[in-house]
Amino acid sequence: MNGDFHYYATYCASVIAGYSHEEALKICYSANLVDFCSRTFLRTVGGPLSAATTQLQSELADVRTDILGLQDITRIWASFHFLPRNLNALVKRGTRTYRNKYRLICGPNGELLKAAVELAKGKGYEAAGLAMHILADTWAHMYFAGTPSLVINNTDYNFRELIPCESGFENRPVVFSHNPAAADDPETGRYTASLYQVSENSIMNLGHGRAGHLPDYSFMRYIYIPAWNEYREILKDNPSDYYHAFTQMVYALKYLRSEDGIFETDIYDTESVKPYEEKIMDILTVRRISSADAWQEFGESLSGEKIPAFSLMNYQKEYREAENGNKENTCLGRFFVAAMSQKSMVTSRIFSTGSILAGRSIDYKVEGLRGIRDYWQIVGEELGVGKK
Amino acid sequence: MYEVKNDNLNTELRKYQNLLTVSGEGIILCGLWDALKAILGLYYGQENIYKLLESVDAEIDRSIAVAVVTVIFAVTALLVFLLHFGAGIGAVKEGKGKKKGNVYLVLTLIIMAFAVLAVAGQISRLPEIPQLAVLMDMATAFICIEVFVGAVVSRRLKKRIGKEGQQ
Amino acid sequence: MTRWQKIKSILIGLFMLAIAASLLTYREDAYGVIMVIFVMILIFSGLRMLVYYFAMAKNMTGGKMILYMGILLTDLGLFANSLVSVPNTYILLYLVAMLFLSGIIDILNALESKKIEGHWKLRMLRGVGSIAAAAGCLFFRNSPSTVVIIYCLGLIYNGVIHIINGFRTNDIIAIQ
Repeated sequence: MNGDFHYYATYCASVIAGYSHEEALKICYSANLVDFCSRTFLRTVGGPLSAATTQLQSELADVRTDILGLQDITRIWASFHFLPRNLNALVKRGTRTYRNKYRLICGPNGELLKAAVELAKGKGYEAAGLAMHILADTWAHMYFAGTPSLVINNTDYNFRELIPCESGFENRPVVFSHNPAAADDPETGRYTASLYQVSENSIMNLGHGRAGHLPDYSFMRYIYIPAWNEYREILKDNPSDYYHAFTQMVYALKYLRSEDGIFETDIYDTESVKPYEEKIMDILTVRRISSADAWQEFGESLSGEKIPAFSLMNYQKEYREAENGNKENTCLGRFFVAAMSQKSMVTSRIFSTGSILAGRSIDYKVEGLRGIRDYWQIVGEELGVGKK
Repeated sequence: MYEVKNDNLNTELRKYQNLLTVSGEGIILCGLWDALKAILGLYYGQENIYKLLESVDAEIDRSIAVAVVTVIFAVTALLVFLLHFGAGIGAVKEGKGKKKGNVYLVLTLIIMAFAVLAVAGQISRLPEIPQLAVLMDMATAFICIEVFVGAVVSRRLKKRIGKEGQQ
Repeated sequence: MTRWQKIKSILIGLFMLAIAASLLTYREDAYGVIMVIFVMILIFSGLRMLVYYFAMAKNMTGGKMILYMGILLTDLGLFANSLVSVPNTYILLYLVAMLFLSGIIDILNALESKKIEGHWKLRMLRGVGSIAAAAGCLFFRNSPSTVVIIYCLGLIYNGVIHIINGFRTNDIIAIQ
C-alpha cells in the first residue's frame, strides 16, 4: 500500500476506533514509518540496524544475493510487508526449497497476523502502528512472497485491468514498461514493472515487483495468472480488499486499546465503519495514483483537527538527545523495539517450519544470549541477564 | 464484475496455449542459434571453409570461392532462420489467442523432419562425434512435438468449451 | 560481512592470484586456457539452468522457456568447445568486454554506496582499475603477450582487493 493509506487511512481508522487525535497521529506515523525505516535512516538517527523494516532502492541495488543476503532480505520483507498467510500450507509438488518459498506467500487472516497484532498489545501506539501497516499490507500484497523468487513472484503477459464503464466493466490489457523513470498512467493503462530476470534470486523477483505498483493502487481491479497458481487466474479487487483492510484495522485497534479481549482473524468492524462506507469507497475507487488529499480531508472531518504531513524528522531529536539507558522510552525507541520483536517472531516461526529462508532463529532459553546483539535488549530482562 | 474461469477446461486451455506460445518462442530461438552456428562453424569449426577449399589453387580463385561459399551459406542460414521464425510466430499467435492457422504446423513438421534426420545421422556417427552434440537436434524435435501437442489439445479444448457454452 | 563472507572473499582473491600466475607462465598459450574457462562457464551456466528448471521452474507458469534456454546455453558451450581456430581477437574482445562491464558495475555500486554513506572507496578503485585494464588490453591488442600481462595485472589487482575486503572490520551497532 502507499503512504496515503498507511498514514492517513490509518489515522481515520484510529479515530473511528476511539483514539484521540494525538494518539491517532502516533499510530499513523509509526504505520507509515515502516516504509522509511531503512538502514540508511537508522544510521542517520543512530538506531540499531537490526530494526530495519524496509530496504531502499539504493540499498537493494547493493545487496548481496548469497544465502545470507537473501535471508536478510526475507527477514525484512516477509516480516513487515508480505506477512505469510500459511506457513504450513500443503504443497504437493516441487522440491523442499520450492515448498518453503510457496509457504511464504502473503495473504490476510493468517496465523502470523494474529500473532503480530497480539504482539503489539500493551506495547504502545508505535507497536500498534507497526501492526496496522503489516495488517494492511497482507491485503494489498496478497499472492506475492517477501523473498526473491522467480517461480513464486513472476507474472506473464496475461495481465488485464477491469475498468468501470457504463455497461459494467471494460477488460483492458495492462502494458508494462521497465523504465523506472516513467510514471504510471492509469488513463492509458501503461505501468512500470521490474524486468524479467531468469535468475531465481534476483531482486527483480522480490515481492510484487513483477506486477509493478498495481497492488498498491486502491482503485485497481485486475486479472492475472501468478507463477505459482498452476494456470488458474486471480481477480484482485483492490477497492474491496482495501475496505476489508480498513474495517479490520478498526477492529484490531479497538482490540489493542481494550483491557482484555481476544483478536481473531476474519472479523471486521463493519458496523462502526458503516456510516462512512460510501465516503471511503469513493476515495478508494477514484482512478488516481495518490488519494492522500482525500484521506486527509476525511480524517480531519472525523477528528476536527488538522493532520500534519508525514515527516521523517519527527521524533529524531527526542531519540538522539535521550540518554543511552533511556532511548527505548522515546517514540522512535519504542518503534525500534516493536520492529525487532516482530522480525524476531516471524523469523522464529519460519525457522520452526524447517525453512532457513529467513535465517536461523536462536532459542535464548536453550542457547543463552547469542546471535545479533541488538536483540539481547528484548530478551535480556526476561532471562534475568539485564541490559547489555 | 468478472467471473474467473478456473474450471478444469479453462485451466487446461491456458496451460496448452502457454505451451504453444513458449514452444513457438523456443523454435525461433533455435532457428536463430542454428543459423549463427552454421556461420561460425563455417569459419572457425573443425571442417571450416579453409579446409574445404584447400584444393583450390590460385589465391584469387580461393578468395572468390570463399566469397561464393559464404554467400551460399548465409542465404541458407537465413532461409533456415525464416523457416523457424514462420513456424514459431504462428505458434505464438495462436497461443495468445490471436490467429489460428495451419501453415505454421506444416513448417514445424518440416523442421521436425530435419531434426530427426540430423539426430539419426549423428547417432550413426557415434562415437566419432561427442554424444552431447546430438542434444540440440533432439531438443528441436522435442519442441516441435510440444507445438503439435499444444495446438491439437488447445483446439480440442476450445471446441469443448464452445459446445458447453452453447449448452 | 559475516565471517563466512570474509573467508569467501579471501579465497576468491587467492584463486584470482593463482589464475594470474598460471596465465603469466603460459603467456600466448594462455588464450587457449581462457577459451577453456569461457566454455566451462557456459556449459556450467547451461547445466545450472537445466537443474533449476527440474528443481523449481517446472512448477512455474511458462517455466518451460527456462528449459529451452538451459539447453541453448549448454549447446553454446559445447559448440564453443568444438571451435578450433577462434582468432585471438575474439577472445580478446570477450576479455575486454568482461573487464569493462565489471568495472562499470563496480563504479555504479560504489556511487550508490557513497550516497548511503557506506564503504565505497575500495569498490571505486576496483572499478577504475578494471576499466584501465580493459583500455590497456585494447591499446596493446597487437601484442598478445602484452595483453596477457595486462589482463593478469588486472586479475592480481582484483584479487588483492578481494583479500583486503576480507580483512576489513565491520561496524556493529547495539541498541544502546
